[in-house]
Amino acid sequence: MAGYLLCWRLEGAPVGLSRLEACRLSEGYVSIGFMSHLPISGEQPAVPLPDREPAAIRAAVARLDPAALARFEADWTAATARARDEYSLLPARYFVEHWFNWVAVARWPELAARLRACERIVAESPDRAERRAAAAEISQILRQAETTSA
Amino acid sequence: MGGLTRAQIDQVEGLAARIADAVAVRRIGTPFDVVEAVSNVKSYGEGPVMIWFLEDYRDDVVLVVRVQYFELSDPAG
Repeated sequence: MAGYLLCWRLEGAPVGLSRLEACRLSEGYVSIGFMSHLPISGEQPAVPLPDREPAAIRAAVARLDPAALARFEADWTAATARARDEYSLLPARYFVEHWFNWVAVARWPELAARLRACERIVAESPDRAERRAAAAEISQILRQAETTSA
Repeated sequence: MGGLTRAQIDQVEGLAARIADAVAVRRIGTPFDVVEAVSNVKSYGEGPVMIWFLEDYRDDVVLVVRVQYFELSDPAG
């Protein structure tokens, strides 16, 4: 299976980054192969997949990681403020999608651990190819978690 | 990006480029520190496009790991 990884370059001065340029790799994305066996088979989720609505997602977050509730509440406050400012419900939808996916991953401990491992690889590996493969695997983990409805 | 039209892909790429711009502005003056070389996965939405991304300061890139495109119309949009 192959996924995509979009890469936008931050370009600028030493610490930089004052100007950016879209770094189009193979028309904006590059296909990278990633692990075919994610640690989700045979494992039971810590909580059921909640409905896609804030209260249900909040309850799931509280069960999975009470410490994450402060960030959940801060994001909710920001999303509702933006919705009010823009007269749009879309910010609430972005919020729901973000936290629904957070729960979708976190309820599978092995998958969540693999996601964190991939984040560490992206942060720390000196091997660019390994970092890019890990980022592509994060992409797959997010998609797989959302589509696993057990 | 599977399933998206060229115009939708352009919207996604435009948003990704602006996210990279915003990240760059935020980072101006911030010393590089390998400990914070990459963020956790973040998301940002605008209009029908929602992007999930990592900020990789080692390579000075924003890595888009997921894109969602909402078909629902928005009264304000």
